[in-house]
Amino acid sequence: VNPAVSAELHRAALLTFEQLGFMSPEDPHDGSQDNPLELSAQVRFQGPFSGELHLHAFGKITGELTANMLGTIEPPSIRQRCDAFAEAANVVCGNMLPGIAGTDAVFDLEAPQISAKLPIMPEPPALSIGLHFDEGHVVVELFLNEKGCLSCN
Amino acid sequence: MAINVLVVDDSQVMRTMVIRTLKLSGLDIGELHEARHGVEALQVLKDHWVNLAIIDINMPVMSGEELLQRMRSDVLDAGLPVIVVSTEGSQTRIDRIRQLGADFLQKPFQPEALRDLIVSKVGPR
Repeated sequence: VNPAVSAELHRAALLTFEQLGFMSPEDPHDGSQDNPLELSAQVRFQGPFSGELHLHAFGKITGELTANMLGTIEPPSIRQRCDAFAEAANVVCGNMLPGIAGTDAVFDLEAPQISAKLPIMPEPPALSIGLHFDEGHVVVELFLNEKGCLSCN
Repeated sequence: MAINVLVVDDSQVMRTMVIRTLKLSGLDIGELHEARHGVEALQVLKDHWVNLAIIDINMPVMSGEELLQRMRSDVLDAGLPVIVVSTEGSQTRIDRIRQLGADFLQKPFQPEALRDLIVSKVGPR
């Protein structure tokens, strides 16, 4: 995959967590990869190319994200955390696609699906990036239905 | 005069976030109404006097674009100021939304950007 695509995915994820969740990433530290999975969100998209964006939260990401979005110090419910995390996945996907395909491209995004387990996919992701926070880390994976569609410059 | 606002988004957390932004904006906000999709929004518009609608695009039951088209074909709601707040990044779709007389703000948004758009639509309050 073109490195510019990877940079675009990273930019979209960073923008989402900073502006939607008011969360600033930090450098990974020892043990930061050992956090258990909290939630996983999957967004299917169709357009000039099609695929899925997966957002996985490890540690205690979703509570912080949701509380910040709601502007509350009360612990959010699991329903609120699923809602907020689904919205975050949607925002990452919606911001990534025009960055990759150009703003003239039209994509249809399906409603995000939330699960407490990592989905089993037949192929590894075309691209994967991570962001680390005080509360844990997130991994964003891009799966493409057409092989090689983002490999050229 | 206070602004009565309808916030339409299938995400309860996003509706709360938008409403919180409105309350902190310093604008004179009156009644706040919420709807989860276009069909609920049309019912709210029938039942209440609304000065501004803030709507998402990707929603179940009835999308924001269809809601906007229906509003524009209704005599009572044809001139209602509308701000679309969405993850939509396609300029083609954004142009279509603007042709229907709505402003567009991409998620994630800065609170100041939403406030400025509201002022541009309904004037300072």
